[in-house]
Amino acid sequence: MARPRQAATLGWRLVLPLALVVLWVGLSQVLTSPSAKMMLPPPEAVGGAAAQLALTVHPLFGMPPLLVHAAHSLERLALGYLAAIAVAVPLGIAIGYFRGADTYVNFLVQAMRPISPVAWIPLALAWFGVGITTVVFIVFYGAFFPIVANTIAGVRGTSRTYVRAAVASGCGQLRILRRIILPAALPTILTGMRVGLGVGWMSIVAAELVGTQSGLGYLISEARFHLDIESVVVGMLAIGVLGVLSDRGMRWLQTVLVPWQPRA
Amino acid sequence: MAVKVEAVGVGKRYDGRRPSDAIVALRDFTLQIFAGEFLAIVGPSGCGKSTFLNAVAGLERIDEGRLFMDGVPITKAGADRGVCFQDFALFPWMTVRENVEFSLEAQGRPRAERREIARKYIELVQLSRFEDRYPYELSGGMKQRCALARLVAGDPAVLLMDEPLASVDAQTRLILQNEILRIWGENRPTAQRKTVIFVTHSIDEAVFLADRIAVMTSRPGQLKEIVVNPLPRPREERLRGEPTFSRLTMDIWDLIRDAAVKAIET
Ligand SMILES: Nc1ncnc2c1ncn2[C@@H]1O[C@H](COP(=O)(O)OP(=O)(O)O)[C@@H](O)[C@H]1O
Ligand SMILES: [Mg+2]
Repeated sequence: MARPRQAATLGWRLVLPLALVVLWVGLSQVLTSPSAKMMLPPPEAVGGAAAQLALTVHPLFGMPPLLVHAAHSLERLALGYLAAIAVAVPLGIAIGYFRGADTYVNFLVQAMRPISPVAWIPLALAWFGVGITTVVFIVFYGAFFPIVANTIAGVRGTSRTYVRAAVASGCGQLRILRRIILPAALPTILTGMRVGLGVGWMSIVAAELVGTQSGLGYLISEARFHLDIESVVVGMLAIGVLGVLSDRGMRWLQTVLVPWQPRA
Repeated sequence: MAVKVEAVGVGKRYDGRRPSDAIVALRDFTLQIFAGEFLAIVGPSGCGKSTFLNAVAGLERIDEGRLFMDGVPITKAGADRGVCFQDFALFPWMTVRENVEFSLEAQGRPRAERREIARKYIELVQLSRFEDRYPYELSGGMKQRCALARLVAGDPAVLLMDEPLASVDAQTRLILQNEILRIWGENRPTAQRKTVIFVTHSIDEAVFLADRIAVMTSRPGQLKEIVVNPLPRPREERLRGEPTFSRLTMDIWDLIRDAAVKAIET
């Protein structure tokens, strides 16, 4: 039962991207002037650039450049994202659970939330200079708020019935936190982590455009500098593919960590 | 007979957002429940039945009067009382076994001991085949049986049940009524039975199960009358067809009809 349906939905999912590719091919047949090619490079040119970036070994790195840049981006993303989880989840639990923490921290959190990670790049460059720390900081900042906000919402949203049932069993505060509130909040926390990962991807590219000498964001900004628009598109596509893969990973994590929910 | 739970002039008010929103749920509520007794509470909806049960559980503070268990004032929840909520309140993230083990876990019992006790009660409610399933995988009746096993696993002396069968279908309900009597200890001598306070909106359920039936007035809830149930034990299915059974049911309905009609209309 499940298999054909999965195959069918996968097929449907590909319809829209394929339609875009067809549109792209069609447009590139019509728009053939040099200036039009700068705005929309033809697919075969992008394919050529992709092959160049992904297959030829870079003399300095000993690896294809696309892989090197992707690996650097992934490393920074992982560092900033894991740090964001490590800080945001405990903080969110504290804010959601203890009234006191709420009064002191929540206001600050809410005030910093609307400040885009990109707005922090100048300050981060001043503090950490050009390099990995700046990028990791920007990813951390971007991923932090969705995670903390969802953790607070998850803890607050824990049904009173469950807490009452636990209290009625003679359960202490700490055990209620560990056995009732955390598992009840976990699906919402994981949703926040998923959103945070997406924001992390957006932040890392922005930060690498100016903050480093490597990574997919750097690849894009370098290619633009050399008017190599095909490589710009290759960089964008690489981010899209990695973004989809990491989101898949998060969804898999959700099904593993939340086995008590019926599969949607 | 020893008094197990005693309420003397209990009053409970819920404060609303404005003073005019305050609701008096219980006023001057006085009732004694004996050790080993199965007491049912019936009354119009909103009359304060759940409020009273939660107060005995130690989940809700009272504003007036006094509430005792074994002669000691009730100040907080404890493992000596177990609560069964209307909507089961099974923890969705725990398997059947973990749910049943939970009150033992809360008491800090060692794992192996928990396992063994839980297995016994899961068997008692015939859920052995489902002990590693999560609540979403269970039918309504199975969920309720799991909630019953969880209720008794911690071996509380007093079982507080708030409309435990309200959300299962009519046939499952009849089966579970017998199961509740078994868990309570109908087949054991009174001294070895648990004490049950059983809130229900179903009068014939109260008559089938209880030794005495406390009938409450509409809000603010007071005790209107206590009806002593003359039906013999063990309660057998055929009793449902006896004239005594239907007469008792009618008598109790007469006591709450006016208030029940009013509760619907307001
Ligand atoms: N937490 C609460 N806050 C405010 N009012 C409540 C609360 N709980 C119950 N009430 C009110 O108190 C009255 C008695 O409620 P309850 O004890 O649940 O009645 P019953 O269980 O007999 O239907 C109802 O009018 C209800 O609306
Ligand atoms: Mg109620």
